Amino acid sequence: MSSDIAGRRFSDIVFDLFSNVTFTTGFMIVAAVAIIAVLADIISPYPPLEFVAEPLLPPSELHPFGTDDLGRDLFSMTLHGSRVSLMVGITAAVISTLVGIAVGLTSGIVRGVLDMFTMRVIDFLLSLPYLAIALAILSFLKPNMMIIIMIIVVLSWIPTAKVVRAHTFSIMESLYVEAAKAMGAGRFYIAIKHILPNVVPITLSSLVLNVRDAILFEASLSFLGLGDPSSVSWGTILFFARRAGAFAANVWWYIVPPGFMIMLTVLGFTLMAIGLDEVLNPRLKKTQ
Amino acid sequence: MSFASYILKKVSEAIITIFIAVTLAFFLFRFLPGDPTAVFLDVRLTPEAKLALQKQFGLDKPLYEQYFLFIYNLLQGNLGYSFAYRGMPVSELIFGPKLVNTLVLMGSGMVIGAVLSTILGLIVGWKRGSILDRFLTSASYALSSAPIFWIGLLVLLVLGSYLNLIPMGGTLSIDALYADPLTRALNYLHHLVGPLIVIVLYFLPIYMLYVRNTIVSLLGEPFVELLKAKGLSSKTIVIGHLSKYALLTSITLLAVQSPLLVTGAIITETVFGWNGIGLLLYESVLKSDYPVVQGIFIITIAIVVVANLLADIAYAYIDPRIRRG
Repeated sequence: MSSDIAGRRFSDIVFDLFSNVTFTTGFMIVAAVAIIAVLADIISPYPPLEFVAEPLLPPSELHPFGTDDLGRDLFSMTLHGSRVSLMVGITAAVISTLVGIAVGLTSGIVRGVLDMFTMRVIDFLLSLPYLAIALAILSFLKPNMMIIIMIIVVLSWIPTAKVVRAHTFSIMESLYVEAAKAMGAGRFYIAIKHILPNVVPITLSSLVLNVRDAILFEASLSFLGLGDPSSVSWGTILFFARRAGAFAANVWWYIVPPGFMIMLTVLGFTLMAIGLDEVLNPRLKKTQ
Repeated sequence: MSFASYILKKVSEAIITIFIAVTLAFFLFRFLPGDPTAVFLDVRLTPEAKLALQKQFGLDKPLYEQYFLFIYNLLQGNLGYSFAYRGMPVSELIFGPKLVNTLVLMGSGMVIGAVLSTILGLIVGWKRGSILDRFLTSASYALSSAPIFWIGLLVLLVLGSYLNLIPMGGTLSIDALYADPLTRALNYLHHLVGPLIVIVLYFLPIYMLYVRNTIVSLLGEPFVELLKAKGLSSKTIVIGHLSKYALLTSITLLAVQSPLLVTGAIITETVFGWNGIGLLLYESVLKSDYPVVQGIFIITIAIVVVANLLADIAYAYIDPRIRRG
């Protein structure tokens, strides 16, 4: 079972994915950003946080994105910003997807009171304004990367849990689970052996969407000056830009590149998720 | 289930949700690190004022008694007193001009965004595959990927700084503060333009894509084939029949995404210095003005829950099948 996804072999799926233009475009964007993040130290012409030139120099050959109000090289800062965004985004998304799988699977198998309770909690959390809660928490805690990742996880495991729960329900009804039960398999055995392998591929697009949302959330917090102060993300650069009044002084090069990188990265993950959905849930194709 | 009992069920659910949120707020603000009385007691208060507050909220009593006092005070509309605004009651601070400013911005932004997206979604859904459809769909994906604060900064940079069309922030200019009402109103609207554009651009792409996909999925339905076969013009089918579904989609989205309103308000108001609740929350976080943060926390959740409730009721009114579920 483990190498099959809805009756298709893993290698076929990979082939289908890369024949899908939407997924491939998204993948290439994300791959490019990932390469930038890995090689940031090598490609950057200057250390990102050192004062290397006159403040607010417009883009030139020496400084492709110009310099900020403290004379730091914005090109190097933007390259390094990809690290924080990807690291926070991917770590938070992986953890919240795992939490979502665990909650959804347990709730879908145990059912009864536990399931009712979980659904109530989920409905409640869905009606909460996330950013307001994050701000309330950060009014007490000094932000660092761990706390930001934890806040994102607490607020973002829900969509995955819902998807996994729904699929667990439908797989529990299938004949081969009936057969396994008839042969005396326990609920735990069925969950690990039969349900998990079928559910994991479905969570792939949730995972990708979680990365996207986490990147946007981290960027928002950093833009509000509530990010990890020891690292510079794209949101942080825009926080500096706003604080320096770049938007009122026509310093466009301070504002355009970091925001564009956020948009590009988020778009890359969105396209990947759409492609994954098209390939793994072919019924959706018709409406696209 | 009758419509009345459906409403009753939804209202009681909403009340329970708000109650849980209030409880959560109470414990969240008391268990986080630091002095629990810090939520109410400003260090700069005189000893007598401290004592009076301690008595009002029972800060020297056990936690459960504090909790009941907290609920009691809340029901009286007493959310404590702001530190940063020199002892001003939190409720007065929230339910004043700031809330009006936020409602004006978010209300008009949402209505314009919903109307525009319904119209655009209907058109591109009907003309799916056309150049216009491809362009607007791609643009929507790009736009919905852009962080809202960046769009705000770009609007300020281009419309405010380069083209000098909008003010660089705030809600009223200083010289308009004491002008006649008409000048004041115009000045206010002029300040509204920038943040309003951002809020519309925030909602437009997501809503448009949803409406478009709803319409596209309907196009294969037999009833649309029948309408075409009857010889009805595209205009009649789209306006007379499909627009209802588009409207339904928009209302559902309002319900599902009402928490987004809060995010939109906090960020847009901060970028433009728009004097609303979102900006107040942000400033209170920076100033550690806990009573205000706690008050806004409770009020925003209440607003979101009530908005959801209204959307649920509107939805059930339009589509009677919902009441059975």
